[in-house]
Order: sequence, then structure tokens, then C-alpha cells
Amino acid sequence: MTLYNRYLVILASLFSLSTVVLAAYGVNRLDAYFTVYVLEYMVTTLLFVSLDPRARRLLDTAGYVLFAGFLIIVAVKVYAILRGT
Amino acid sequence: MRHLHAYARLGAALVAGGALCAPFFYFVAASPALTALALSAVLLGVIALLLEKSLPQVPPQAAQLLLKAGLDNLAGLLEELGVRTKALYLPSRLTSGKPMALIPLGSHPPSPAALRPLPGRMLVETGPGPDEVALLVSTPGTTVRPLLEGSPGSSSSELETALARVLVGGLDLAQGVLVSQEDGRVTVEAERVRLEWEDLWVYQVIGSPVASVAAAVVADGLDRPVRILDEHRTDRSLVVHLQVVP
Repeated sequence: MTLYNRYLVILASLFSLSTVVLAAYGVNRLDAYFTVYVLEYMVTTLLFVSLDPRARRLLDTAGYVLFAGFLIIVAVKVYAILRGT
Repeated sequence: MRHLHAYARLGAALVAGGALCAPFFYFVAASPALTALALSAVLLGVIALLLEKSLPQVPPQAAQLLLKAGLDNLAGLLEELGVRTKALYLPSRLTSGKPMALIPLGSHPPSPAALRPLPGRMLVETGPGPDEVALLVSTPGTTVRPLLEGSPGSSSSELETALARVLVGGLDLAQGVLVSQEDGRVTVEAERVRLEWEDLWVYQVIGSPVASVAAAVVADGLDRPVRILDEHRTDRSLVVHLQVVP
């Protein structure tokens, strides 16, 4: 199996597994799923140290975009808490 | 019809499937878990599309043909000259900025300690004597060195990371790399090498392409000349023993 195939299979397995686990625990918030996906993506990408530099640059860019999405979720939550108080 | 690579097809299918299913799962089935699964498919699809963009433009078969064509010329030259002496891999510091192989032509092998930066010519003098001449040639290791940004580093783990970047990530020639150092010897084990093994004359002098890459990266990492002592293939890996010349 090539490096890219291994990377995709591992990510797909992690996403599926975390979805099943979160669903089993009755999590109904999409932002919770998204946060877990972002964490899994970032850790997996970090662990694949031997990725081609060009692939790494592209995946890092995608990581920044996902992290920005994660920050937006956090900001919305903080805003909701502050507004509630 | 334009041929699409497997990653592009997979990516497009995952993005389209996920984007179509997500609204249905959210609004009709009212299932956050299934919606999240559809969104993860979109994410995977985007990743597959990004990986497609970073794939090498030259197909593996074409790359192997080009490599063979490049080595055929050198093999012919070495056979004509009857050279069997093992090449000395020099670090970038001693050549014109990239690691190259020095093949002595005379009976006196060059003293590595006396080596000064050599000009970027094919035929170089390595000493004052009339038979102290050598060939300075590019090898597969020379051409892949630019895949690494900066110096590979001298510790075993740094060399391992650098070689994995080249052999696993850059060239997709192996599935993993292990490096160990002991008493001026470096052992490189490339796991599950995907390159046909041939017992050619030229490989006895400069090593197989994988050994050549290993020697060039180790020479640059340690900033010392390196010689390939031997290499052997086991069921699952290729083991290369390198000698670091003081």
C-alpha cells in the first residue's frame, strides 16, 4: 500500500470510528463531530513525517482552514455563553 | 475523455456524495451522526483531491525507463574502462553543491583526507600523480537530493527522517526506512522496496538506485565521504551497509 493510500485509509478509519463512538454516546451536536475530525486530521498529518513536501504544504493549508473553522465554533460558543450571562 | 487519476475520481465522488447526502441526513433523516459522516466524506474527498495535486507528473514506469537510460551510458563507460572499484560518495561541500560519486580510475584510490572541493567536471585529478584521476559522476542520489530542504542532519534519527522523506514520501520506492550507526558504519534498511533488483556492473560500482540515494543522503548528513560496503536483499527489505570515510 502506498503512503498516500495508507494516509487516506487511516483517516477514513478514524473518522468512521469516532462517528460511531460519538453516536453511541448520544452526541447530537455537529460542532462536536467537526472538532474531533479536525483533531484527528491534524494529529494524523503530523505523524506522517515522510510525506512529500508539496503534499505537506497542501495538507497544512487545509489544516489551517479547518483550524479556522474550529476557532469560529469556539468563538460562537464563547459568544453564546457571554450572551447567556 | 480526459483521464482522471484514481485520487481525483475518489475525491470527486466523496465530495459529491457527501455534499448530496449531508442535507438529506440533516433535514429529512434528522440524524446529526449521519450528517457528520457525510461531512467527513467531503473532508476526505478534499484531502484526496489535494493529494492528487502533489502526485509526481511522471508515471513510475516512465521514471524507471528514464533512470535506466541514464545509467546505461555510465554503465557502458565503466565497462569499457574496466572499472570495478567502489565509488566514493562525496558530500555537497566537496563537489559543486550536490553529493556526487567519485570513481577512481587509477590504481591508487584517492585519500579522502586530502580531498579538496572538486570542480564540477566529469574527469578530475585527485592527486599529483599521473594515474590519480577519477570520474566525478551524478547518481540517482545526486538527483533526488533537492527533494530535501536543508541538511539532513547527522544523527541516526535525522538520517532516518531524511531518507524516509526521499524514499517513502518523495519517490514512493519503499514503505519505511531504518538507520543505525556504529563504529563508522551506517546501516540503512529500506522496507518493502518497490524497484526491480538487477545485478548490473554499474551497480557494483555505484550501488543500486536505493543504495545510491542512501549513500548520497548519509554523505551529506554526516558531511563525510561514504562508500557502499555491500547491499543485500531479504524477503521484505534491502539492507545497505555504508562505511564512513574519516
